[in-house]
Amino acid sequence: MPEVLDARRMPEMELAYAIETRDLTRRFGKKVVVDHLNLRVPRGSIFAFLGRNGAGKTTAIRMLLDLLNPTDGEATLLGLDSVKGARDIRRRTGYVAQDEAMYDWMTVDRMIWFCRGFYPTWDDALAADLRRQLDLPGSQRIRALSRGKQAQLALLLAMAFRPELLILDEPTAGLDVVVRREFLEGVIELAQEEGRTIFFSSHLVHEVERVADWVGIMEEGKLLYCAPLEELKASVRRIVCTFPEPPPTPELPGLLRAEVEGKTLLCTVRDFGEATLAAARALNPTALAVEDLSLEDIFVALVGKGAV
Amino acid sequence: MMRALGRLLWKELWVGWPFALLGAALPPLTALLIRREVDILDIPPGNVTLFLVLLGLVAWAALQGAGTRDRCSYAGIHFPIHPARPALVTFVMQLLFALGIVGGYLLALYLLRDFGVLSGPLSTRVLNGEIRTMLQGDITRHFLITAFLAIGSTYALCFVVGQALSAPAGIVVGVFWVIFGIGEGLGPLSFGWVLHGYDLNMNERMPFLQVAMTAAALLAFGVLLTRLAFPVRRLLACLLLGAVAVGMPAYFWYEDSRAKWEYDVIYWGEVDSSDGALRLEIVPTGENIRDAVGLRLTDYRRDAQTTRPFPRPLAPTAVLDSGMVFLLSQPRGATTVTLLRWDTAADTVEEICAIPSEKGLMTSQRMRYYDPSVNPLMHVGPDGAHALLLLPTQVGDGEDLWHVDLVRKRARLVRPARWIISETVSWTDDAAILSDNGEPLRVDLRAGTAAPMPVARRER
Repeated sequence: MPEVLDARRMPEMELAYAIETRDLTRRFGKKVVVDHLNLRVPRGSIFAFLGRNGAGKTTAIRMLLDLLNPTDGEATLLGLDSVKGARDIRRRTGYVAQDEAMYDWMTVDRMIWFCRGFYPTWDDALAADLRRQLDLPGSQRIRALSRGKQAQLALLLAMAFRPELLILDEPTAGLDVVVRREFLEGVIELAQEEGRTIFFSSHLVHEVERVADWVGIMEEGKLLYCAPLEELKASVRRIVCTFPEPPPTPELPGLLRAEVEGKTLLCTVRDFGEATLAAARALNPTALAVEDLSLEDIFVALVGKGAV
Repeated sequence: MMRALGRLLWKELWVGWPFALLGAALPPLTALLIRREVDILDIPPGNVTLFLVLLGLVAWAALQGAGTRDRCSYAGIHFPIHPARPALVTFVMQLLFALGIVGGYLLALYLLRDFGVLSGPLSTRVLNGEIRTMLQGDITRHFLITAFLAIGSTYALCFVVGQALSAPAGIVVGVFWVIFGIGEGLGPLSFGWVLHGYDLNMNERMPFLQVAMTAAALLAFGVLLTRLAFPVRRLLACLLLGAVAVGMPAYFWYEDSRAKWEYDVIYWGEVDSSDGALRLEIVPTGENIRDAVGLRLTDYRRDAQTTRPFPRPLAPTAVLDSGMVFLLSQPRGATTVTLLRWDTAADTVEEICAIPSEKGLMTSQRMRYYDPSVNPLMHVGPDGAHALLLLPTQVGDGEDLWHVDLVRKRARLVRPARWIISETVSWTDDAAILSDNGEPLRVDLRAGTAAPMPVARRER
């Protein structure tokens, strides 16, 4: 199991956090679904909360939004306690749930009108702009919309009151590739206009690489990694060593994964640095190369089978 | 805040109006169909309609409850309001709709009746059960009590069970509740006798059960809106509802069994002596009511009272002018009844004789109240040496006539299993003549026999 790099170990940065959790834990019976989660989401960031299905992402989000009581620990959103300040948090936070259950008997316009009544900061002009941009048919009932359009409507409703924080729980699940890409690009475009924080969970890692600037990776309820995406990509690298003979068993610092392809040894390491490189050279390869990894490769190296 | 509340109310109105309209339209439509001789089972049609409406209500309530489960409605999740508020608005509004349905149902029946649609035999059939009961009393009172309790308890129960468990669970519980809990007057569909035995007077307690169930459901609903962990909330809600659903009938059973003991003295108000100077009555003994009953003889001439406890069950049969009191007693499980003589002057009790009898004759098994068929009747001769006693027969119908020799302390059966209605007994030295029953009956006190007395026809 790799060493956990969580927020407590991160260097202090001059950032205020939109989301901060302290030992947030949730158990269902004996099963620990979220295990002492310590998470810090910087304001203004686009934070991708990654993990496999069942990793505890949705449970963590439900606790953040006071939809589920934590067994232990606490969380603050926008500086407010997630339980005591739940109502204020909702006033300032947009949320798109996984498989959003809207009132599907309403038309799009009626749904927009309905939601408008709950938010003092609702911006009619923004809602109209978003509806036009997203090409949502106002007179159509929600149940008649495609899943992609329903997700877009949910996003509209979550954004039209100009929230400071936008939480999206698997917003692209069930959407096809094209719609997924359009949706994510739309989110980023809209969000960046006002510099709001976006926190979104996903298990489709390759989709988020293009939009996220921070990444948190969860596995079995625990936070494995939490860092800026570039830092993560710089930290986790692949060292490719070629040998004249079958490769020896590697002993590298921060080794996450080792694979052998013929006479080539592929080692994925974390905390890549001179020490790692020196250790690789000590294996006496005939050739040595260092490769950058995609976020998906990093994710697999961190949580996939075969991880050292 | 008001705008948010308005939106929630609007949503409920928008969702609920087809249901309310359908519910209100269903009864007259069904009645009209029945008017067209469409037979639905063989059940009073008015009650079938009510039953169907209630089943619709059950399903609706359970679905609504399940829809608000665990703060999972859109409004409960997203909007900056207390998560309980959407569920509360849903609950209250749907409850009002449910009450409106019953109102519509009753109104439709009244209108149909007033316009003569429900006339003739159908009127009797449709207005059977609940409706008939309602028509016999004050309409407003019955509407409020019947509709609110029945519908309120049903809706609250199904909503809460739907929310705590699931919609199917709410429906199953609701159907049972309709049949067992508010099934009074639903004709053959009613299984109320399972709860109430054969005692119809238990029906009076159903409102209490419905009130208790409504209160428990509301409390459970409150529990479900708390911040407790969902399994804990669910457990508490189910415990609350279960405790009432099981506990109240159990309590009624217990109360009923106590009441049975209370009434196992064959009921009588007071027994007066023939000259009216003495009066015998039941008084509290201060002892366990299940075991003993106090009898008090008041002598108005002497302005004196004598009180004595007697074991249950007990039936006073006669009070003589001399202050002698005759009582029947039957130990539990005994196949005889014992004739006792209480000398109130000396305050002594003497056992006269034991008479074979049906086991449990003096213990009311099914009826809490006076059953005239088990009322013993005793006539004592003026010399105090003989008595005639009527007891329910052991075989067939009617009564057994016993002659009791109070001196020799023995009883003889002189006429078995006949209906003898006699308030007047004439005594001679060797016979007693019972009259007032059409044909006088002569009882030979020496031979211990009884025979109809021929009546000489007067020649014109």
